[in-house]
Amino acid sequence: MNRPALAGAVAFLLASAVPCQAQNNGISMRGFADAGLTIFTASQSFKAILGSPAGAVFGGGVEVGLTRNLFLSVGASRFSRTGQRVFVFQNQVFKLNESDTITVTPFQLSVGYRFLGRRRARPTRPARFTPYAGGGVGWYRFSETSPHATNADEAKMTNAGYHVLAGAETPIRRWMAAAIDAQWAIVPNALGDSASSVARLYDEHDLGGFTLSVRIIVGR
Amino acid sequence: MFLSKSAGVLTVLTLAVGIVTAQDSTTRYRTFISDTTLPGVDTGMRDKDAPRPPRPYPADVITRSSGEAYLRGSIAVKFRPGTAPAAERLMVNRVGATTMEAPSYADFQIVNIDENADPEAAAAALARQPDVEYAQARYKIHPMFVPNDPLYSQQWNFPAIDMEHAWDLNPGATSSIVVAVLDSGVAYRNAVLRRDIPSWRDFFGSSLVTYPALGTVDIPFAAAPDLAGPNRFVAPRDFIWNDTDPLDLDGHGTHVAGTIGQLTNNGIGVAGMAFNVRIMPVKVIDSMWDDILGSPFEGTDDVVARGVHYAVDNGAKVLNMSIGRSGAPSPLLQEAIIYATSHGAFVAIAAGNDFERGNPTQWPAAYAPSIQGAVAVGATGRDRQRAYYSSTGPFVELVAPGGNQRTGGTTGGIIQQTYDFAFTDTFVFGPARYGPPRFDVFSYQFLQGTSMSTPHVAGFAALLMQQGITDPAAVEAAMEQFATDLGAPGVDQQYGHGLINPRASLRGLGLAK
Repeated sequence: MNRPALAGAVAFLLASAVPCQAQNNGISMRGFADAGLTIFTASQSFKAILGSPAGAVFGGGVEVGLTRNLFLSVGASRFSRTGQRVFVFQNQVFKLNESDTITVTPFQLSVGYRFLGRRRARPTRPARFTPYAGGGVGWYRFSETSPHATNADEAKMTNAGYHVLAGAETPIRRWMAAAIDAQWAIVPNALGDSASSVARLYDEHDLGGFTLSVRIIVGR
Repeated sequence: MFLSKSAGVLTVLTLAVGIVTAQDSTTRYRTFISDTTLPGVDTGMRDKDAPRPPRPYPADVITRSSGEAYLRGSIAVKFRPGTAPAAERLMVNRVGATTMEAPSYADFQIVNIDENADPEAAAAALARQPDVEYAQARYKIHPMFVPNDPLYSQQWNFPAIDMEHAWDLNPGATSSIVVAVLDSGVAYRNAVLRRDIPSWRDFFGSSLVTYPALGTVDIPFAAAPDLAGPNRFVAPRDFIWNDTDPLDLDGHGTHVAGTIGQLTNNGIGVAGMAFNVRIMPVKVIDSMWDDILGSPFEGTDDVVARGVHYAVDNGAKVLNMSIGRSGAPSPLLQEAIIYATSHGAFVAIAAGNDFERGNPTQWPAAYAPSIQGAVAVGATGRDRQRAYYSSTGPFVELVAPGGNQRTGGTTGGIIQQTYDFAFTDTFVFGPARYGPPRFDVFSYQFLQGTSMSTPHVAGFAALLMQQGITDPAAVEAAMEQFATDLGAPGVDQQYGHGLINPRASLRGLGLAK
């Protein structure tokens, strides 16, 4: 998914979020967009190619409140960065004169629990921070291309993984909230199959990583 | 203690053994009367010529039945650091030395001994002295080519290693990379040499015949049209004539240089591996015409070692050595190659063409496996099989196209532009047709040998350095890691790590693929 398409999808989700006034006490729906930083588990490999094991990630999705505490979220994000292909000899990384673009697009399905405390008979002011935690599964689209790659050279694959998440949400408007979201994803056996993979050299096969993001939530 | 007891004796010996501190770099052994001639003549393909016969060694060379050869009357020695000059003189006197010279671009010395003494025995005696790091005879190095058969035009060697796609990744490197060609010289410029050609004797067929004196003649030289270009050549040096005019009097070095850097996409001729590099012609091998014209030096281990030092000291990043020999090891060549790699230069060395001559160990190729950044290169034919002549052994690290005309026919050789041998090898038809040579007439010749496979690796190294792998040891690793395995699985003695795969090495590693 390219950047304009992703932005469009996020805008659509935000627009389709049910306004808080329209929600009843049953199933609710909110849209969210987030921006964050991912530190990949395959840190040496990403660092060799991109110069850093971390990079910005942008995404969005829909969160469905199943009960007062339980929610389900569907989201997509995107990491894309261009570095250089390399040769590694005795731990020295030689950057080659051939660019290399890595794109990782996770699609994630998560179930979470919001720690709201006891329901009170008389509505009071909402809690300043609402912590949540959860986990889920994901499908991670990975592509790698370089200017002189043939079809056989290009890497395009989708791998399944799982993740755990935790965060805290705070309202900033009547129908809008912000959250700090931390997520740990594991995508086993996604990297390092090919003889021309630096991940194989470093024995790093996990495409997952730790992502810390700021989330803007529309709806209630 | 030894020195103090022998001080008086040493005084005498100092007088007995003369020391020439350095070879006089200003001594001129020949004169070019003009720097310009008409442009070189291109006679096109020479596909009907008879094979080029092997050349005999001159009279000052001792040749064993096994084919090894070395100079009479001198040996090479390196003393341990800190050895006093007086002690050096004392030691060399024990082997009957007359004079000792310290040549330029060398960390060893040349010791002149009696013409009738056995240089190998003298070297062995000297090597036993406590302050001697090594001593060896001055073994003759020769080009690693096999005389060619009649030929047809086809350049199959580059597609065989997928160079078309490799050039997409790196189109011929740039002029920032200098590749030294340590060989018989290169046809790199125009000139006219006025020289008296004396009579000489050699075997013609089975008879020893006299070739007549030709008197004073003007010998024309021209730059190879498909190789020379603006700023193409850098720091030329001739260690056979001890000057800065390493003109090729054979054609071997010009052919080798062509495979490394023949001009490409210029509408004429053929292509080269790294066609944008600059070439450093370093002449360290004497040819038949060098000998006939009376060159003061011959292509021996010590001369080649000096050439290696010179190339590295003058900025070469890649050294091509399509040369070698069998016989005794050569510590001074080993040290020279270590000097090159430790100063950031990659060295490609021919693995040798003696498989069908008993397959002896080849030098300096046999040093390559123990030196990171130096590679011994075997040869394959168009069928990707080891060429019949290509030497085998644990020292073979990689193979590249060198041609195999036994299985591949005439066009199974490697084609490049060099001299039209009909105008240079006038002696091969005997005294009746013997005449002055012309080194300004060019043609496209198919040759085969590890001489021809080695420049593929040298050019490949230039591309890798341009691509970003600047450490010669890493260049070697990149070549070996991505080589196409041939023969027995894994590293073997016929193909080493396998056939070079430039495109894969130039692409290197991605994250996942």
